[in-house]
Amino acid sequence: MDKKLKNILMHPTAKGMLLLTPALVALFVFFVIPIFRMFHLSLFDPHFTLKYYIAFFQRPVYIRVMWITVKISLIVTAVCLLVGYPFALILSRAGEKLSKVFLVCIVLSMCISLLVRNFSWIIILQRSGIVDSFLMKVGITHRHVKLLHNLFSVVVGMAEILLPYMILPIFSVLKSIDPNLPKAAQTMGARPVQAFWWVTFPLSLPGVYAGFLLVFIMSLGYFITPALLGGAKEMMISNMIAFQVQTVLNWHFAASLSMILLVATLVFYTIFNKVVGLEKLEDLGV
Amino acid sequence: MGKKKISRREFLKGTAVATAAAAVGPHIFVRKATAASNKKIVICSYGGSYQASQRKAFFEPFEKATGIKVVEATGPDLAKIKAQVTSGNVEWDVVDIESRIMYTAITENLLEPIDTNIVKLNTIVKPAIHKYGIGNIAFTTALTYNKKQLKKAPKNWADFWDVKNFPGPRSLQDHAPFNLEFALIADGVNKDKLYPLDIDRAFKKMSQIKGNIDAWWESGAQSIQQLTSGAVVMSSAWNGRVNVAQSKGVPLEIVWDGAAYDWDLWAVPKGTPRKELAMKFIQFALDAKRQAYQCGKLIAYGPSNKLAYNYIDKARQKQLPTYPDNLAKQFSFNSKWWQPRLNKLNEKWAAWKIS
Amino acid sequence: MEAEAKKLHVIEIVFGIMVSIYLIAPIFVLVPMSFGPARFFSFPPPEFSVEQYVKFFHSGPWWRAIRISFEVAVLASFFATVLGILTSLAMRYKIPAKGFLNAMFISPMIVPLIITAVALYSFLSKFHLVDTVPGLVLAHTILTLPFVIITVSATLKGLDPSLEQAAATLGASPLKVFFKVTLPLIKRGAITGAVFAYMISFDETVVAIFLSSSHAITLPKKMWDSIRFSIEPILPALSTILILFAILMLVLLEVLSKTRK
Repeated sequence: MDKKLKNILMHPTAKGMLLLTPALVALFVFFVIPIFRMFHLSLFDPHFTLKYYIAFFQRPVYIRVMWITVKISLIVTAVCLLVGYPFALILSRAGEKLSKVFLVCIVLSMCISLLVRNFSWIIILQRSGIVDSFLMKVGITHRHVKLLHNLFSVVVGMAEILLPYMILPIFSVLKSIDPNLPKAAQTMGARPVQAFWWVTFPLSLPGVYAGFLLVFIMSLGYFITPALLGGAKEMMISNMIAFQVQTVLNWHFAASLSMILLVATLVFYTIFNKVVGLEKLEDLGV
Repeated sequence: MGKKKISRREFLKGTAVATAAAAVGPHIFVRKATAASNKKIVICSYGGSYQASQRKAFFEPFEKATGIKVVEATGPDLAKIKAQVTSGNVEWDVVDIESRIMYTAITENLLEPIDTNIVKLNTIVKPAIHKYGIGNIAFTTALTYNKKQLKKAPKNWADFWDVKNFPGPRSLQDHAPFNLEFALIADGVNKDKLYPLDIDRAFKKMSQIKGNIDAWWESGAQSIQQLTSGAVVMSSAWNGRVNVAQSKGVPLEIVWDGAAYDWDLWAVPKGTPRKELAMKFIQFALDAKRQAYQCGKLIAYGPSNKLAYNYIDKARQKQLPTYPDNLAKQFSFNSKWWQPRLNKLNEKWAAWKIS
Repeated sequence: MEAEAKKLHVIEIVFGIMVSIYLIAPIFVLVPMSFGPARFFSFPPPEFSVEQYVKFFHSGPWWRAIRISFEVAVLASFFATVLGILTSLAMRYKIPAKGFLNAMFISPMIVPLIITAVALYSFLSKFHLVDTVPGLVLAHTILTLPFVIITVSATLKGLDPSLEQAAATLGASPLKVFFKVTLPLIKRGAITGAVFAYMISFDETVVAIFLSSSHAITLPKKMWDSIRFSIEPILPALSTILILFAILMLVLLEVLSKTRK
C-alpha cells in the first residue's frame, strides 16, 4: 500500500514545494525584501555606518520614547490582566446563557472597526464629553477633568481593544480544568478561596502567560491609539517612526528605529515562547 | 479566534532569519510609463473650510471652463511630495504649500519652476512671487479664543501664557515654527526683532506653558474643532478658518497683536506629466475676480492679486490679514530663516514635547 | 438566569456586565449620537434627526472610500485564501525547514504593522504601486495570509488523509482529488479564513495610512484623516453602519460554525 502510494504521488517533497512556491514568492517579494531594505537603509548612507543606531542610544529622547513604549505596554498589559482574569473566571463559571452573552460581547467588540472604537473614546473622554459632564453634573467635581490626550485615555483605549486577547486564552485554559479538581480540594477541607489559589490559579497560568505575551507584544507596536488618544507625552516608538518618515524625512533613522522595535518584539517573543511553551496551549484549543 | 493559534516557537526564529534571507533578493526596478492623461488634474491642499473655499472659487469653475476633472487630495506633506518626485511617480500636479515648505522643497529640488509664459504675474504682489511658487493667499496664524469659555479677553501672547488670569486648557500647532516666535513675543521680545530667533529662550518659555497645552493640533480644522467644542479655551489658529467658524455663529475671536503672517503658495511638483495643465490652473486661480470671490465671500484670507481688492467690500477688507491696520500688528514669518533649520528644530521640538 | 445566580455572586455578575459594557462601549455612545444633529456633537443628542445619515448617503468621497475598501478586501481575501490553501496543503508534505517556513508565513502577523507599512511604502513606491488598489491588495494579501493558513491548517489537522489516499489509489488525478475530496473537506476552514481576511483587510488602518493618499483612499484611511484633521459630524452615522456590519459578519461566522456541526 505504502509503495503504491509513493508511486502515485511520486516525490511528495517536490509536490509540497511546488504547492508552496506561490505563497513563498509573494511573501518573499512583498514582505521579506521590503523589510530587508529597511534593514539595509538603517546601516548604509550610502556607505556602511552605525550612526543611526548610535544616535538612538546617544540622544536621551529616543531612550525615553522606548521607555514610554515599554511603560505603556506594561500598564496596558497589567490592566488587561487585572480586568481580564476575573472576567475570564466569571465567564468560565457562568451559566450557558450568561456566558454566551459575555462571549458575544467579546467577539462583537473585536469585530467593530478599530477606528470606530478609538473615535468613541474621544467622544466619551473629551472635555465636556460624556464622562466629564457626568462628573460635573453629579457634583463629584466642579472643574473640568482632563481625561483625554493623556496616559489614562491611551490605556483605556488600548485595553479596550486588547482585553479579548487576554480573556480568551485564560478562559480556554480555565474551561479545560477539570471542575472536580477544585471540588476535590474543597472536600479535603480547603475553603473555596484556598481551593482557587492552590488548584485553579496555578493550572490557569499557561493562559495567563499566553495572554500576557499577546497583549504585551501587540502593545509594543501600537500606533493608532497613542496617535489619536495620546497627548504629547504618549509618543510610542511606532509614532516616532511615523514622525521620522512623515515629518523629518529621515528614512535611515526611521529604519533603524524599526529594526530596534523589530528586535525588541522578537526578543520578547522568544523569551515568552521559551517560558510558556505555546504548543501546549494550542493543544488546549486556545 | 485565529489570533490565538499563531503561537509557534519557530515564528520567531523565522522572522529573525527572514530579514537575513532577503539579502539574496536582487532589487528589481520597474518603471511604468505614467500615461499622461489630460482628462484630470490632481490638486493637494490643506483641507477643511479652506479647501472648501478653493473648491467653490477655483476647482469647480475650472472643471466647468475646461472640462477637466479636478481630483482633490488633502495634506500636502513634504514627505509625500518627496516620495512622489524621487520615485518618479508624481500624483499631485499642483500643491498648495506654506512658504517654509516651498523653500525646503526648492533645496531638495522637488519643484518645477513656474512657467511665466502661462502664469501672468504683472498684477501679483511682490512678496507672492517666487521662481518655484506663486503666492495664493496671505494667511495669519493668530491667538484665537472662545468668548464663551473665557471671562476676560486675552490681548496678546503674554495673556496666552498667563494661566492665572486666563485659566483653561490651550492648544498650539504641533511643530516648532510660529510657536517659538509666539513664545518669544510672550517673553517680551519686540515682534520686529524676532529673527534670528533665540531658540533656547523660546523653548524655555514654551516649557512654562507646556503643562497647559491640552492638545497639539496638526490641521487647521482640528484647531477650530477644539475651540468650537470648548475642548480648549484658546489656541493658535488660521484666521480664515476662524472667520468661517464665526460666520457660522461660533463665538470665536481673533487677536491680531503678535500674530504671524505668511503665504500659501501654488507650486508644481517636479516631473508631473501634466505640467502645462498645472500652470494653466495656477493662472486660472490667480484671477482677480476668482480670488476676490474666495477671499471676499468664502474665507477671509488676503488675495495675492492686487486687483482682487477692487472687488472686495470695505467691511470685509478689515477682516483680511493684509488690511493695513491688521498688518501693522503682525510680524512677517521668516521662512528663509527657518528653512535650513526646520528639520533640526522639529526634531528638537519632538524631543522637547515628550521630555 | 436563575441557575447562574446560584453559582455566581451578584458582584461577579455586575463585574461581568460592566466589563462587557466597557468592551462594547462604542455601540452605546455612537449609535445614539448618530441620530443627533449633523452640525455638532453632543451626548445625549438634543433632538432626533437622521441628518447625519442623509449627509452620509449623499457624500461621494465616503462612498468612493467604501467601494475601494470593498474592492481591496475582496481581492486581498481571495488571493490570501488561494495562497493560504496551497500553503496549508504543502505543509502536510515532508518539506525541508518546515518550522522555519511556517514561521515565515506567520511573521506578517507578528512584525509590528508600522514596520510593514513603512517598508512597503518605500518598496512599492519604486514600482509606482503606492496609492493604487493593486498596491493595497498586495499588502493586505500578505497581512491576511497568516490568518487563512491558520484556519485552513486547523481544518486539515482534523482531516483523515486516508480519504484522499483512497481516492488517489482509485486512480483519480491529483487535481480531481483536490476538487472532489480535499476542497469540500476544508471548505469551511477556507471560508472562515476568507471571512477573517476580508474583515481584517476592510479594517486595516496602519498600512493604509502610508499606502493611500489621494486616489486609492480606503475607508479606514478616510476615517483616520477625518478623526485627526477635521472631525466630520457624519462619523457617528458611519460608525453605526460599520457596527451593524460587524454584527452581520458575526452572524455569518456563527452560521459557518453551526454548519460545521
